[in-house]
This record gives sequence, C-alpha cells and structure tokens, in this order.
Amino acid sequence: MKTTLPVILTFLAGFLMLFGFFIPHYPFNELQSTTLNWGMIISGFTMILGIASLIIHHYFKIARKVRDWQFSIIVYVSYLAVFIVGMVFGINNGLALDPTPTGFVYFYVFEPLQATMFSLLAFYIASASYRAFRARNFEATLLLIAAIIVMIGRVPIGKAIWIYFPDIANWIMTVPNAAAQRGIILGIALGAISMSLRILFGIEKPYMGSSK
Amino acid sequence: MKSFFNKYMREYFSGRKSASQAECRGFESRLPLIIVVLLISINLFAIEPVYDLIAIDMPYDSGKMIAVGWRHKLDNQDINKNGENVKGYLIFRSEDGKNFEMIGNLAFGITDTQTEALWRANGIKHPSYGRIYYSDNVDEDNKDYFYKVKVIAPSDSVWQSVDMWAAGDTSYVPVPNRKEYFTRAEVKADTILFREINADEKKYEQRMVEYGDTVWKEAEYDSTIKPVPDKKGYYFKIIKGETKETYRIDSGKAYKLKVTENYSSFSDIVKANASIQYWDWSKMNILILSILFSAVLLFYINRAKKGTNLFVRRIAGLSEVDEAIGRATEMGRPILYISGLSTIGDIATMAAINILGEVAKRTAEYSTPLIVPAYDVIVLQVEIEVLKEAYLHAGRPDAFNSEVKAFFLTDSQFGYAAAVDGIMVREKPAANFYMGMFFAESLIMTETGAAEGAIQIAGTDAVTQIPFFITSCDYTLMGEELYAASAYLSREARLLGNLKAVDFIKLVFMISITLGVITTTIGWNGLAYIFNTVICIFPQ
Repeated sequence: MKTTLPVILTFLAGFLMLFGFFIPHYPFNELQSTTLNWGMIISGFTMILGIASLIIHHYFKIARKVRDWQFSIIVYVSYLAVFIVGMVFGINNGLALDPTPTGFVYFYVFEPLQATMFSLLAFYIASASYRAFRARNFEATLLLIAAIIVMIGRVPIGKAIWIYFPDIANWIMTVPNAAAQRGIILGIALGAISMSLRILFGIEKPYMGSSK
Repeated sequence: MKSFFNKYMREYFSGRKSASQAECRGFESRLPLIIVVLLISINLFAIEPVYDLIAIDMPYDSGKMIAVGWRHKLDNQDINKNGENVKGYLIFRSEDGKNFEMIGNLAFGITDTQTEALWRANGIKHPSYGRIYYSDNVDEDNKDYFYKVKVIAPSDSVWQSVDMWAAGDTSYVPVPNRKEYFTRAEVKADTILFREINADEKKYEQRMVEYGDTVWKEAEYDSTIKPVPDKKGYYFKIIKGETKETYRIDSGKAYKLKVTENYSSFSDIVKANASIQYWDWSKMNILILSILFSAVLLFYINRAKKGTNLFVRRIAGLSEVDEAIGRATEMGRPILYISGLSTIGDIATMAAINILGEVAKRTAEYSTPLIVPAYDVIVLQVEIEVLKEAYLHAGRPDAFNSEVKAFFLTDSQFGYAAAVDGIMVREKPAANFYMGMFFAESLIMTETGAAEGAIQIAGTDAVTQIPFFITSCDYTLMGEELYAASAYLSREARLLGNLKAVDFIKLVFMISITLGVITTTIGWNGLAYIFNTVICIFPQ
C-alpha cells in the first residue's frame, strides 16, 4: 500500500492533466493553473525545510570544527542580518528600486554580488575557448576554423576585411549549427515523452526515492 | 464599369464613325471618355473595404471567444507589393447591431495566432492564403454579438499650420479652402481641441494626427463638444503628454498638423455567439501519436520482459561513471553531484535524480563520501529519499548519515554557483557530476572543477549549455542520453525496452524527415501537406 498508493495517485493525476490538455471545458481548462497555484503554495512552505537544512548543515560544521568552519559563521550572520532587516522594515512591492533597507540590501549588496559572479563567465569562456580551439585533431581544427569565421563575421571589421565574412558566419549559424541543434532537440523531445510515460505508467518512480 | 469602358472604347475605335466626324464633334464627343477616366481614377484611389467577413465561435476553446475573419484585396499575399497602401484594420462590435464601438485593431500583415486552430479547421492550407483573423474576448456565451471592420490606410493629407489658442477661446475659425483639414485649435490644461472641417461622419471616428516635427498622438472624436452652429465637422482632442518636453504645446503659437490615416467604408455586419467546447479536436493528432507511442513503448517493454536481448550502444559518459567513482575512492576524496538548477517538475531533474540513485548505490558500495548540494528544496527532499533508498539497497543504511552530505544551498542562481565553486575548492572532490537543467552558471562551475583537476561528467537537455559542458567536462551526455542514463546504468529490462521504443520512433521520424526533404526538394509537397492537414479530418 505504501508503494501502490503513490503510483495510483501519480497515474490518476497524470492522466487527469493529460485529459485536461484535450478538454477545454471547465473544470479541466483550469487544472493546470490550479495545480500550479498549489505548487507555489507548497513550495512556499518547503522553504522552511530548506532553511532548516541550511542551519543544521552549518551547525554541524561549526560544532565539529571542520576545515574552514569560520565561513559557516558568515552564513549565519548574513542570514540573520537580512532576515531581521526584512522582518523589521519589510519590503515595498511594486517599486522598481525598493527604497526600504531590505531593498537596499537587495539592490546594493545581493545584486552586485550576483553580477560579480556572472561577470566571471567572460574569463571562464576565454579559458574554455582556449582549450576547445587547440587544433589537436581534424574535428578540433574544423571547430577552430568555424569559430574564427563566426567571430570575425560578427564584428564590423570582418566585413571590412572581406565582404562575405558576415554571410558565411550567418550561414554557419543558420544551417549546420541550426541543423545539429534541431537534431538534439528532436531527441530531447522524444526522450522527455518516453520519460513522462515511464513515470505515468509507474515504470520509473524517482519521486518515491526509487527508480524501480 | 470595366464592360462599359470596353464597350465604349470598342465603339470609339471600331471605325463605325469616321475620324473626321469624331474630331468635328470636339469636346462633347470626348466627354464620355473623360467621365470614364475620371470614374476609374476615383475608383483607383478609394480605399477598398474588406469583404467576405465572417464571425464564428472560436473552436476548441473554453468559451467567450469569437473569431472575426475577413479578406481584403491587399492581404498578406500582396504584403511586399502593396504593404505601404494599408496600415491595418479596425474592428467594431455591437450587442444590438446598431451601436458599434471599436474593440481593437490589427496591424497589416498580421493574423491573430490564437485563431490558428480556426484556419486549420476551415481546411485553409495556410493563413497567408486565407482570411485575416482577429480573436475577440466577449463577456457572455450564447449571446449574439455583431461585428464590422474597416481598413486603415495612410492619408495623403499635407501639413497645415494651426494656431493654438489659450483656454476659453472657443471661436473656431472656419478655413475657406476645403482642402485644408483643420481649424484653429484650443489649448486647455491637458488637451488640445481642434476641428476637422471636412470629416465624413460615416467614415471617421478617429484620427491619427501628427503635431510638431516628430511627435504623434492619437486624436479621438470628442462627443462632449457641441458643434458651433454653421461649423460642420468633427471635434477631436489630443491628450497632451505629461512629462516629455516635446509634448508641450504653447498657446498662441502655430503648430503643424496633418491627418496621417484614412479609412475605408465599413464592411457588412456579421454576427456570432460564443460557446464552450467539450473536446479539442485540433489536438487529436497529438492524442493519436501519444497512443501510438504508448503502444510501441508497451510492445518493447513486453518484449524485453520476455527476455529478448536488446542491444544498447555504449554511451561513453555513462560507462565512465564507475571509473570516476573508483578514482574518487582510490584518492579518498568525495564525489560532488549536482542535479541542475530546476524544479522537480522538470523532466531533466527527474532524470538527474534517477542517475543519482545509481551513483549513490556505487558510492555506498565503495564507502565514498557523496556531496549533494541542492538548489531547490523539494528536489532536495526527493534526493534525500533516493539516497536513503540507494544506501538501503546497498545494505549500508547506517552509512547514509556519515557519508552523504545532502543539503540546501540557495535558490539564487549565481549564489549557488559561488557556493559550489567554494565546495570544489575546499573539499576538492575527485569526481563532479552535473546532471539536469543548467543555465549561464554551468561554465562557472565546470571550469572551477576542471581547474581543481576533478574528473567531470555532465548531462543536460539545455541545448545552449551543451557546448560549454563539452568544452570543460571529460564526458557529456547530450540531450536524450540524459534520459537514457537510468536504463543504461540499471540495465533493467523494462527501461531498456523503453529505450528501444524511443529508438524505433526516432527511426520513423528520421525516415519521415528524409523522405520529406527529398520530396520537397524535387518539388512535390504532398508528404509535407499530409502533416499539415491531418487534423482537418476531425470535425469541429
């Protein structure tokens, strides 16, 4: 019963949603939005579990004095600071730049930190490109040539060097590149459908902590 | 008109009357020809109204939706040739068939995408060759609504200087020359009033007016303004902008105004009522294909259960899972497993959790520490269950607490990337697994992993991230290989049967695409047309 009931529930819920896709009549037409709302409500409550998990994880790190345990104290301090500011001053919804202290923390601390991490991507792309473009074999050489043409074709100087560079770059992106991507997307779509059917028929049950 | 013209021309040039006789008749003899030419000219410059207007209940919907469709001489077929002659269409609705109000507009060359099912249902090959459609949300089902449409075209009006007068000045001065459009205008606190003296009340309810050099605003007919006696025409107002300096109008100064749009006469009036549908027949092809897919799936699963040997090609990334775990075990370092940055509703996350189960069984056997930082709390809960199950399956449930660290990190994208980078640098895992859905943070994590010297295996269905993983990881599962991973690793008969079913469907797709390419290349569109029209066999 412990394993059968979830499978039956999944099967019924899955087929209900599936038929909701084909039936535009009430209440089927509202099934998707209703379940989405349920999901949002539930995920709001699960944040408590997440915070508990974070606190317990770092508590053990501090208690056991594992390597670099001091960073866990920074996690606690940061968490409490933002939590207290948020609870005391609240937020002002609907404003592009929230003028409250919580908004200050978000826009002048959190967002710059996010932007800093994102900006690192440029350097990582450079190092990854260096590795990828080394002409070790025929395929890598082909990749290198294609990449150089696309890079030159996408900057104004490319057209100045040779008038056909932008056209060739565009052709590489819209024909061979798009063809390869569509092949992958087609495979992904079929794989996703088969995976959905496996879950629907109870062949695979990852939501129960078991794939069998 | 055409036949009359032809008849006259035939008579004129047929020689029934001698040339000298015709010349003698002078201007009078040419008068009919002049009239004909004038009539043709007028006809050429008139804006043709739309025709063949229909209004029908939107099929396959949940009610309260009516599609209005029409044809026009300058429709999509002539978009390149005559596009500059038509700007769009205005749609009017009435509940009693008398009092119409404008409910929307449609730019030229656009047909409402919501009505895609409609043109399919009508058996029209392609929207470009069918009607132009507009979908209207109505308030009630099973109630008659009346519709009519007219065409918006560019106006040939010229710029005309108009003085703006201070508030309180209501002395609208008629312009003697009827070719000019506007009288003096009045400036109030927030509006500019002007009178269009030669407006045709049957045609015009709304004017687009440009004033100044660059700014244009919509001028609406203001029914609250009573016409000054003997000053025929329509009064319009422009709501001035509130903040932009360029919108400021000074009293006593002359501004240039011109009409930028003209309208055709109204189409015929049609009526329809909306109703709710019980079955979406337009999606029948999806249902049929889903049933066929399921049948193939069940067939191959049955075949696999009977013990048929099913060959599955080697997937390098999955074959190296054991090697990666073995390496970590030998080095005495942990394994880092990241199941993407998406929710449990994502199929890729489900596939990632399946692979986690198989990886955890092996780490449990080898007593290798496993770190599973989570981006989503619900995913974390499922992961914990999967890990517990795997350790139980390996006969070491007690090792779960000591060897596995599954915890919530953050649901901030780059915060998560920073935290994972920190774990890589501090814990120095020997093997990193990236399975599931990833976004821009993928390269930040994998490059750090590569710099730390870990063996890295990635799998994602995010097409944009696959190149990054290929570049910085040792092995990458591309797209569908991610979904096949659990079957490949577990070698369970039912899952292998599922893989074969997908391969079979893929074969069908490949044959269809190849045949489609060949037949279309040689100029026969029949095969492509089958896919386009297959749903037309179902009733509305």
